[in-house]
This record gives sequence, structure tokens and C-alpha cells, in this order.
Amino acid sequence: MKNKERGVMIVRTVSTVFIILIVLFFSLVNSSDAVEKSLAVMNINYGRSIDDLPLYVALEEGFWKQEGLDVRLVRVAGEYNVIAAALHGGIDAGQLDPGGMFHAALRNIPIKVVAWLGHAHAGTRCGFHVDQKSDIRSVKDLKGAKIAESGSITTAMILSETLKMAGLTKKEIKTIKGIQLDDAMQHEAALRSKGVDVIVA
Amino acid sequence: MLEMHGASRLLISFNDVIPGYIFSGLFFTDKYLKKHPEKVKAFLRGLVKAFDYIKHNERRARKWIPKYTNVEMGVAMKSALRHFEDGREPFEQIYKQQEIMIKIGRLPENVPLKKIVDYSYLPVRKDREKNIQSNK
Repeated sequence: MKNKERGVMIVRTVSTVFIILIVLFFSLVNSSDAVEKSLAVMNINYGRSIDDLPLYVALEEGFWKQEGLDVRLVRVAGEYNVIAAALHGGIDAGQLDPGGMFHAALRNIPIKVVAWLGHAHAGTRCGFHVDQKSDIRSVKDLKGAKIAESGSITTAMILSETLKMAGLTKKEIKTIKGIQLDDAMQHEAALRSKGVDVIVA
Repeated sequence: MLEMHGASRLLISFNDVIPGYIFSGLFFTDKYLKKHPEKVKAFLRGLVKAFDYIKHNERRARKWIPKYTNVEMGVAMKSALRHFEDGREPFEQIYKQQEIMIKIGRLPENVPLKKIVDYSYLPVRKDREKNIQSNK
């Protein structure tokens, strides 16, 4: 009889512990769901390029989640579209180059840069690219060259300063505008076909 | 990145032409900054942690590139990255770039940087943090 009572007691204890564990499990699952749901959503514009690496890292390493944010990367192309999306609430933050920011300020568009996304350094490989076998060895050899560039303020600045270094004027080169800065395949094809001598990218 | 494909040779880099060239910035509208200052600060704390992470774990950081771009892993692991510090850039550098824009006719006039840049949402700089602590 005593053994029977002991058995019943053990079964009751085990059942109680089991029920408590189930309740604990579901309450934990629900609370993590609640945390997930309480994260503040932020839509951030990005360019799908290597230069946006800090955004990918912050997202993947959970740095924004730790700050209570659910950041979503949104692709919006074109300076005016980015500004319009920010002004109308389509995105929370956007990216602009300094030239874009200056022009926005001149038009009294109420935006502020709160952080810059890096700068060039000694290891930077953006610049003037020529074919591996090209005879252009220095900037002084650019006279008469066909130079493809995006037409942006950035490339215009780099081009102008490079020509100054080479002692050349714009009239002594031929520029082809409209090349996309991040399309390596297009650049490769243009250089190989000799359609252009230099690509600014 | 073009060099990584073996097609080209770099003649001169942006940095050779304009040292420390600043490429882009992250902006919010004034309305958003006024309405959600703490959210912006939290966002920037996360971003600065990412800058720091890239500095100390570059190889691990680079592995995320293919997921978000069209760049293959081999290229992602070798391509040059920008130099990321703490989100701030000296005003002298930004003004230098502005002067060039005006000179080449791509900007009609000078724009005061206070009108377009606000670093107050960024976390306190590490060196200043140390100074504050040592002064206590």
C-alpha cells in the first residue's frame, strides 16, 4: 500500500514538473516573440555595393537589434528619388554624396547628414582604370584619351583635378558620360573593345 | 573592383587626386530628427559598432558582401574598402571638396556646413570619453 502511495506521489510530482516546464517553455517563446514585435522598424536606403558594408555588418551581427531596432535595407536609386522617399516617409534615412547634400541645402531641403560612410585612403582602388596592355602609363599620357565616366559631381571633380595634375585641359581629352560606377563587366568590355581608353570608377 | 577581374590597371586613385575624399553620408530629414532623436541615436550606435567591427574583424565582415551585392566571394574578400572611422569627417576636408565643386562650376556658391551636417546624434568619441573620465 505504501509503495502504491509512493508511486502515485512520484507520478504526480513528475507530471507537475512536466507541466511547469511546458508553461515555462511557452512563456519564454511568447516573450521572445514580444521582444521581436516591439523592435522599432527603420527603412534605410542602400546602394547594394561594397561601400555599404557597415550596413550589412550592423544588420547581420545584430548591432541594431541590440539597440531595439528592426532595420530594413531598401533600394532606392537616384538622388532625387532618395530625397523624395525620405521627405514622404518611404524611407527613414538615405544616402547622398557631398555634392548632393550641398545642392539640397541650396534648395532649402530640410535634411541633415548625421554620419559619413567612410573616405578614400592609400589603399583605395577607385580611380582611373586603363587596359592592362594600355600605353597610358601616367596621367601625362591622357592627352587625346577617350575617358568614360558616370557624369556625377564626384567623377567630374576627380577628372578636373587629374587633368590639372597632368597639365591638360578638358579640350585635350574626350569624355563619354553615363557609365555606371559599379558595373565591372561593362567596364571590362569597354576597355577590351578599345571603345574607351580610361574608365573612371 | 575592376582590377579584380584582371582587365585593368589602376592609373591613379581618387585618393591620389583628392586625399581623404569623402564619398557619401547618411541623412535624415529635420522633421524625423526632431521627432525621433533617440531612435536616430540608437541607429548610429549600431552603425558605429559596425565601423569598429570592420576595423577589427575585416575578413569576417567581408563575408557578408555577396549576400547583399552582385559581388562574388573571391572579389569581396580582396576589394578595397573605404576607411571607416566613427562617422565624423573634418569640416576642412568637406570644405575642400566644396571648393573644387565651385571651381569646376558644379556648385554655384558656398554652403555653410552647419546647415547640412549634425554630428550630435553620434555616440561620444572614444578619445573624448576617456578625457571626460580622466577629468572626473
